[in-house]
Amino acid sequence: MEMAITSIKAALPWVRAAEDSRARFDALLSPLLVPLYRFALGMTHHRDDAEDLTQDAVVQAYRAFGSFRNGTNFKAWLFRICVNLYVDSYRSRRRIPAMMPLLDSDVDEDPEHARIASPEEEMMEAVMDEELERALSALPETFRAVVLLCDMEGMAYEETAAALSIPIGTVRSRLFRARNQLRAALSEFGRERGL
Amino acid sequence: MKGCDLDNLTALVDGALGEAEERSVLAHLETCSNCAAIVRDHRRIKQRLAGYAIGILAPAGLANAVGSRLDRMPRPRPPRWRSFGAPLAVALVGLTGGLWLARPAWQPRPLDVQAIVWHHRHALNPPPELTLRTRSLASAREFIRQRTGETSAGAASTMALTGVGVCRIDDSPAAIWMYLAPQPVSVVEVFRPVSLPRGGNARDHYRISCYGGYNEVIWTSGGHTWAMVSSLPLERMIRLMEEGGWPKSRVG
Repeated sequence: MEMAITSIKAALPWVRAAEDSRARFDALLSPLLVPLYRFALGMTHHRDDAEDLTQDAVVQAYRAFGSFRNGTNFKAWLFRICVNLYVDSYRSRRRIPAMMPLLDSDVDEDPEHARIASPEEEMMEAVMDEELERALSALPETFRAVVLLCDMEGMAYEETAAALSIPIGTVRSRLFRARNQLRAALSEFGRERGL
Repeated sequence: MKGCDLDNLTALVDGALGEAEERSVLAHLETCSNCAAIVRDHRRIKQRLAGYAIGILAPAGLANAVGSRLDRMPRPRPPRWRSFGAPLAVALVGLTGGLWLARPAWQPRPLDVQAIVWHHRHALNPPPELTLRTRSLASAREFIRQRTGETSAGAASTMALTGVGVCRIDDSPAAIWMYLAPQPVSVVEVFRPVSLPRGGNARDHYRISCYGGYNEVIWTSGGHTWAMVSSLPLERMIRLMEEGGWPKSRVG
């Protein structure tokens, strides 16, 4: 009897839809988890906050997944949730921007990107990355968000506009100004290093 | 920098220009070293950021942590209307269509109307006072006889109409019809000479009269003149007439 009730329940369309929804969500999320974390890190400048923000954004997206319409852009939808969450909850937690070493014992090793570099190369890259991080963190939030999405995550103008809820023209103009600021900051660092 | 379209420089860096626009911006870069430098530097920055992004890896265990948080949550459900609303709508449409297709053939509703078709000279120029209120066919005949001086009851044709009554009336180009209907229209008197044009597309010529509780349509078809009396809606009667699908409850 119990089995019969279970099988009847399982046949209900909304129960079936709920069962499928987790698998669908996982499939959509899987390739976006690292980009989402990267974006969160770029916005919060803090590893723990970035991890929390990523998890909270995913949980919120999962909770709202029932209202996600198939055929629309999941990536833009997910990032918009993350942006809204950051603005609502995380922005107030401003911390002193922390320099984040990219490779340490706490991160997954990615064999695809593993390479052998000379100590000089590694040092030079570390310096350049540090400069880039400093330049990025000096950007106003609105500019930084556009650069993170367009240049780091390779999102199209339309996707970025949807994620940030701004017009495409604003994406373009913010991107121009953000790159200009990065350009100025990086050339300043270069001058400091006597390059 | 004046006159330079900076937004287009950004779009050039991102490969978001159309062919013609791109050609135009590239031509501009040939002449504007400032913009050329901007494009060059912005491209470098874009490349550096992309490379920098690749080096940022997620903390070990992030995926597991996310997974276990999701495991503890109830499965998201689409709004119920979405999960079964669409199938329900399809089913409703299907059901409605099915019912429409499977509807029983039209059955005439009994209409207890009797009619007298009275051939009489007065029909061409009827006296206005020729009005009768009675439920009895016999009294109707008597009434006609008295008022028109017609003594022969045999001159009257009687139609017992059921549902849709269709009667060929071209034998009586000048006639008096009397329809005797039940309640709520106890007796209806109709007095009408028939003067419909003949020839051509006969169905183009028809005349409609509406009385309390039933309607009458008179038309010519196949060289004959017909009268249809029914309690059906007038539109239905006209459709019946046009389709020629009237029940042949010919009486006379």
